[in-house]
Amino acid sequence: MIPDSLKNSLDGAIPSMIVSVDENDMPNVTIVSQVFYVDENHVAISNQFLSKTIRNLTATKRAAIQLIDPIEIFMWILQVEFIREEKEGSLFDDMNMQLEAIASMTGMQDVFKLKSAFVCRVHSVEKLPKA
Amino acid sequence: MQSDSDSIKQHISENETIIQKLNEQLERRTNEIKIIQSISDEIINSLDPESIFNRSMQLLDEVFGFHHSHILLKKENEDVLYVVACHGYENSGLGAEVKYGEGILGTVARHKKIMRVSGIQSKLRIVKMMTADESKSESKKLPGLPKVDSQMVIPLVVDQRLIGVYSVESEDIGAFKAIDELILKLVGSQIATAIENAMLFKKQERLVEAYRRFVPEELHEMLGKESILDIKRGDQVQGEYTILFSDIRGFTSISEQMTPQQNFDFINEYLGFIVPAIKKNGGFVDKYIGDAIMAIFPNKPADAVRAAREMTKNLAEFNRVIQSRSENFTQIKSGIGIHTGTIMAGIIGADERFEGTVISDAVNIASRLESLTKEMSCAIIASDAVVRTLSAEERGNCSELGDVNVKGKKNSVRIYKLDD
Repeated sequence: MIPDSLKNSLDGAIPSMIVSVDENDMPNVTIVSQVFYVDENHVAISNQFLSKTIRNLTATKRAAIQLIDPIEIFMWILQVEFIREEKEGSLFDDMNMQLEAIASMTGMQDVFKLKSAFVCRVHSVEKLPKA
Repeated sequence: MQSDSDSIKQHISENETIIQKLNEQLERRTNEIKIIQSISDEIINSLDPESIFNRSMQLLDEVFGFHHSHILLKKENEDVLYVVACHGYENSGLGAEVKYGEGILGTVARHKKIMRVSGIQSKLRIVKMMTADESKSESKKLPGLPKVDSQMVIPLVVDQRLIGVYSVESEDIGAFKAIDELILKLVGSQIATAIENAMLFKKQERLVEAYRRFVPEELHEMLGKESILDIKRGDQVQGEYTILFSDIRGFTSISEQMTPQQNFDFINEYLGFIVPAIKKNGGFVDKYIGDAIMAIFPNKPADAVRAAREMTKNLAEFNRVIQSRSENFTQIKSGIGIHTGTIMAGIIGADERFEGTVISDAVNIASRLESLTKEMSCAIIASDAVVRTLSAEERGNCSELGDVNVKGKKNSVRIYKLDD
């Protein structure tokens, strides 16, 4: 499902956008610093303090993610479904390490803690033509 | 039919393109592996830490375009890294320290896992944006590029022990890809092993150096052994050698007026003046007994005589230097005894403690001649065995002092006073 050419956009070079909806179809848009590659059918987002997004994903499962290719600067739109939360394991450790490294550069390592990894199945990948 | 055959042709042509692409990829991979192999070979064959640092960073720059890199090593007994080498920076930042957990370098050290981070600047902005308390988010100055955006850091691990980290960075967005991570991982483990080996070798060299100060190399050579590793208890050799004994007169009374620290400082300074003359003239110190020196000259007795005269001269210089420092210092005098005879050198000891030693009557005689210098009020006394081998020039102003008896010796020994 996730093509090789999309992986560059999952390195977190450019922040991504997540659109989720609540039970009443009220949309919410958030910027996240990185959407993580899990395997060819899954990505993960970090649960730190994206309270609204996390709440929406837990309630309605669905979200759309906009990624930007850091070299060619074009967009990808992913339709995803939240399937599970991970609080330990290698995915959690890798994501936690990234967060810890950046936070410690500003002395905020005690504030920025990863609560869990939200693993989402990718339902569709759409590459938008360059503007 | 026509359309079927067309579609088959198209399929074949598509397949050919795919195969060609795969072949190209394979060739590129093979090249990369070859390059990594040759880097590894070059690095692993070096035992000099500096050249491992510099060469690996230079090669990774030339071949893979990693223009800015750092190597940091872990401090012993401390969770702190320090910069030992860098490549591609205006300011070297050598010696700069990073604690475990600090920034990307410190985080990799703490977790001992490779990390590739992209979009560092935007991530930092997001962190700052989300931090209400701005005062807390004071960035600590860490080694590296000021506007770094992409960084890969690999832990250098040997036997699951972190010895340091290797970092490459760039101000470009998305500079490092998954393939770069793989390359660094492959080369990194080779670099880690090479550094560890080089460090061990350096430590080994220091140990050998330290060891040499305790057991003279010349003793190994006399025993026909190449290194201390080959020496075992019971190894021995017998031959005709010259023994030189030197002692400070009345050192006990001088010593009583000094603190232990002053005693050691005094003796070490004294030996620093006197001892070089021994090596310079082809001898070596077998042992120090307090302020006394016992030296062996494996070649000609004349070597020992030359050394003795030079030692006396050096003692005068020592006296002059000390007196210029403290006025109430009374000049010290020393006596030197020289004798040539058959000696046995070998390794003695039990359990854990071995020592190279010399067993011979010649040692007792040389020691006795040294103690006679006081009675005879002269600086150097040599036995007939020494003097009869000297040329007229080597004898210099030499006068016979008569025959003396030495404890345990049947025959008396004829002795001579040598000018200094």
